[in-house]
Formats: sequence, C-alpha cells, structure tokens
Amino acid sequence: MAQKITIDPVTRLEGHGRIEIFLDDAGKVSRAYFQVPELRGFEQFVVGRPAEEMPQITSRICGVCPMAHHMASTKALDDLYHVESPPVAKKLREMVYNIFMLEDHALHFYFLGGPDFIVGPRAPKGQRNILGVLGKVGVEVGRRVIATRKELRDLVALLGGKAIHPVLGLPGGVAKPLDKADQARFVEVATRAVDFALFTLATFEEVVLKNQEYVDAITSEMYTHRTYYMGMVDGKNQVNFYDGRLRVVDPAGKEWGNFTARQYLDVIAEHVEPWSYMKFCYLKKLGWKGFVDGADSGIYSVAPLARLNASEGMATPRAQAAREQLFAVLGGKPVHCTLANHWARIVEMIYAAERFRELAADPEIVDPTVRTLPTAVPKMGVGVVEAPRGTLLHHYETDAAGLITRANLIVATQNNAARIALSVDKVARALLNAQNASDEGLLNMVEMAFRAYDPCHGCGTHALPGSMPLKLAIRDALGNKLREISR
Amino acid sequence: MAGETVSYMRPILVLGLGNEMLKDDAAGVRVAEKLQQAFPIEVEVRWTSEFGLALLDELIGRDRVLLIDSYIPQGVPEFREYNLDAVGQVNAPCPHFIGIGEIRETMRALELGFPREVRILAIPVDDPTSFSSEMSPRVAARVPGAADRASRIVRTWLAESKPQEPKEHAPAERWAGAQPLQQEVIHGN
Repeated sequence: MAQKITIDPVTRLEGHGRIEIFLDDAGKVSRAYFQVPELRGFEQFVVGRPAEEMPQITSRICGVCPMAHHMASTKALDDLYHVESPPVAKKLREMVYNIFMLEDHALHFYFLGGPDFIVGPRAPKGQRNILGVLGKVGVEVGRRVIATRKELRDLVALLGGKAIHPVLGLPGGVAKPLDKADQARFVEVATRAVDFALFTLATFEEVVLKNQEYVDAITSEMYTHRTYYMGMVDGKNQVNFYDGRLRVVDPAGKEWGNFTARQYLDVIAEHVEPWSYMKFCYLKKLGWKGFVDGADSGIYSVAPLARLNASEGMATPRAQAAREQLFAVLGGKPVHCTLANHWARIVEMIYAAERFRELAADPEIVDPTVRTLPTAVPKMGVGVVEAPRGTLLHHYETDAAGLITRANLIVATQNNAARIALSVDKVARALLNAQNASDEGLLNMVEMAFRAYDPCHGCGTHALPGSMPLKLAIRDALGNKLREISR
Repeated sequence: MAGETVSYMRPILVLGLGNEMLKDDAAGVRVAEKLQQAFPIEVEVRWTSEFGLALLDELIGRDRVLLIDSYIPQGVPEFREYNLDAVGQVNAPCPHFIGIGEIRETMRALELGFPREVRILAIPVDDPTSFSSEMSPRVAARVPGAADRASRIVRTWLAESKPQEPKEHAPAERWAGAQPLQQEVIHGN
C-alpha cells in the first residue's frame, strides 16, 4: 500500500532549483516536485517610489532579459497616465523590442537549447553543451552568432543609451528619435538579420528534421502535455511581441479567451502549494484542478510554442511559411510537444528579423516627434509584452502624485510554472524507479524538460553557478533521501 | 594624426557582479564601487548586473580579469578565491544559467581570446533573493575586507606586469562544474 507523503513546509526551497522525487512502496515514482525560488518582497521594495522609475527598477530584476521588463513597465506607465504615444514612438519601441527578441532567441537556440537537438538527447554528457553544438554547426557559425549579437546590441545601445538597462521608454513615448543618418545602418543590419534567421532554420532542417531520432524525441509522449496556450496577438490574431490582446486557446486549438492587459485579473488566478514559493498561474474560470492537463484543467502555457498555438498566423511572409512548415510536420495546430518550443523559437526569430526590417525601412521611423507628455492624474496601469520566455505583465497602482502604492508582476516562468511541474513529474514517472535510476540519464531527461521552458528565476548575477544549479533528490515512501544528484 | 581617436582597452578588468536591488546580491557591486579610484590607468573597475553571455562582452580584449561576486556559504562564511585557469564541464541548460565556464568554452572555441587569467573573489552572503537596496549589516561589514583582498590581487598582477622576469603561475588544473579545484580560503570576515 502506498504511503501518504506529507511534504514538510520546511522543505520549501531556499536558493536555487530543486526537484524532489518521492517513490512509493513498490519503488515507483509517486510524485515529483519542481521547486524554483521566487524573489520576495518586490511589492514592498517599490512602494513609495515614483512610478516613472519602474522601467529602470524592473529592468534590473533579470540580468538576461532586462529589455522585456523595461518595455512592459513602459507600457504600464502609458496606461497609468492614460497617454497615447505618437505612432513613431510605438514603432521605435517595437523595433528595438524585436531586435532584443531576435538576439535572445538566437542565443538560446545556438548555445543552450541547441544541445538537445543539434547534438542529440542521447549524446554523451561531455557533448551536450556549447562545444557540442559548435562541433556540429562549425566555429564560423558560432562566430557569426556572436557577431550578429554584437551588431544587434550596438543598435539597441544607439537608441536606448545602453544595451542593458536601457533608458528608452518613457510614459507617452521614447527618450530620443532615430537620426536619419543612422537609418540606413538599421536597415542594413536588419537585412543581415533576416538572412541569419533563415540560415538558422536551414540549419535546423538539416541537423534536426532530417534525423528521425530527433523528431521522435520532439514528438514523444513523455514531453507532451495537452494544455491551454496563451500569447499576444494583433488585430488579425497574428503573433505580436510588443502590443495587442492576450488570446487563449484550448487544447483543441479553439479560442477560449481574448482579453486586454487590464482584464488579466478576471482571467488569471494564482494557486499556492506548501512546497514552493512560486505561485502557479491558472485560468480562473476553469479553476485549479491540480497538476493535471486536459480541457478541464486551468493549467496553461506561454512562450514560443504557446504563441504559435494561440495565434492564427505570423505577420511577415517568411515567418508565416516557417510556421506552416512546423505545423505540417508536427501534425497540425495546436502542437502539444514541449520540445517543439525550440523550433517555434526559430520561427519567431524569422518574424523578429522581418519585422525589424519593416520598421527600420519605414519612412516614419525617423519622425522626431517621439513623445506625448502625460497630463492625467495616475491611478492604475497595466502593461504586457511577450518576453522571449512568455507573457510578461506589469501592474502598478499609485497615489495621485504617481508614487507606487502597489505593484504586481506576472513573469513568464510563473505562467509556465504549473506546466513545468507537470513536465518534471511526467518525465520522472515515465523513467524512474528504485532499480534503474541512472544519474546521467535521469538528469539529462529532466534537463530537457526544464530547458525547453528556459525558466527565469531572476536571482541576479553570479559568475560561477553556470553549471546547472539544480539538485535532484530521490526519496523513499517514508521521505528518507535515497540519493541526491547535483552538478 | 591630429583629431584621431585611439580606442584603448585597459588590460586588467575588475568587474563587480551583482544586483543592487537584491539585498546581499549587491556585495560584488559595492566592493567594485569601493575600488573605483584605487588603481592606476592599466586597471578598469566596473560593475554590472547583467550576466550570462553578456559577460563575454566584458572579457574580450582583456589580459586579466578579477570578478567579484557573492555566494551562499554552507559552513563558515569566508572569502573564497577561484582560479579558472583550466576549462571544465559545461552544463548550462538555458541562458539564465550561463556562467564563466560556459563563457570560457565559447570564447576559446570561437578563438575570441579568453583572458590569460580570470579569478573570482567570492563574498559570503546571507540573503541574495529579497528585494532591498540595503545589504545585511554583517555582509556590508565584509565589503572593506573584500576590497582589500581584491586590491592585493590586482597589485600582484600589476607588479607581475612590470618589466621583469614573470612569476611562474601554478600549474593549470581542470575546473569541473561548480567545484573549484584550486582555491585559496581566507579565514575570517
């Protein structure tokens, strides 16, 4: 008879990621828990600060994706002050944002997500890393990624003051216009970026899609969850990273919800578990049914694959073609295969590059009227963007002087937290028992589920823990630790 | 030539790593701030909250780099030094987990010129995940000692770079994952 496992609240996580796997009396996995530390005290930290500081404050939450927070915060200020930015300001913001998305996605695919496919899920541990990827695609490609990245970051610095912690967004506009003398450079870089994104797709086709083992890994049941999906779309239900409405589709791909950023509290709720500081988002109307997927469960997903699932197309031609290819190969929309996030990321690279080029070449992009000064008394504002890892939402409330009285952030990882927990649990149940637990294989399979979501716990800056700061503990039915694996 | 600007990248970089909003995570930044005017022109002192592959931009073109960072001690809190002469296993599964090992692997593989020496000075901290612009008092009290330690490292480098026979460095050892194989532990805070 299986033992009932009580999770002692003191096992809540301090520090970095942790997975706890509990075995039943028969030595099979009864449950696996994925714990990620949540940053605490943000609301108290910002109370009393001027709302206009928030784009600078929040861009410092995460050292990898500061631009995402900066932009969501800027949009929250637009809403807070009821100010409409001039068209050129929106175009400049969107252009810079697409540059950021392109750079981030390229980085992830080539250096991080790549090992799961370019090298292969069963490759030796010593090859499942950056060097393994470079060994397959070649050093010249690697240098091209670094060079492209530098070019893109230089453009962000040109408009935003610096590549990190930009000072681009202001309520009602942006800090500076694009100089006509610089426009040609933006167009030139954008053209190279489109070429590079298409090259990335060709690389993926050659190395991954022509390898049946990799395709089987992508479509395996172990990494499949039939959940709802959420992403931002424009007026034609096409993917848009910068602005639009939030659209939710059900596991069959039919529209379930379509709402504005301000309506998020009517749609999204948070569930608390005693074993984690992270709150698990779910769709309020469906309710929290536990860590299960399916049409009756409120669990949903965000990020590249979710955005493709939640939309009806891409707004640029080459990206649309790439999207159609993905759905054709993987059996139609929606695709429930978590590992397909890596492919969806490439589709989004192409869109980001094409959209960047469109905006850079737009004659209006050099209009010097880049800001409308706000005049309304602030009270409440909500801003949302699609960060590389999923929907990012900032919600501020202020007093009449514009000082923060309350703030709430829902980051991509929070949106995905429940599905990540599902993924870890499913992989553990499928693979592990008391007899066959293999350190190497276990960690890799768990990593692959973890890696596809690229979770951000935004714990600031560290030089060393680059090696995955994840501990995996296996416990028996009484909770005694049998083995702990970490690296 | 008159009017020509020459770009000069100083060979020694002292880089404080940390997030100034996350309480003790700011330790590396605070130490770097303290060192801002401490060195001659050959040494550049900076700080950043960016991490991952963005650190690569900081390292390209440098001869020697001292990274000042924080860590959560398991036992006695003490300053730790890590010498990354050798390359170890690279495990980062996503951008939020890239560290100096992955950067080193990338730079070497792409022949981007990883610095001749990279050392990390790690400061023991209590709470790097709560939002606060103030560090814990006992962590704040460690900043002067950490700055002294960093200063000694850099001044040793400066002395070595003077025109004389260079000192022999300790043999390179492999660095495996996050476990330093060569470290110098300084007792006390």
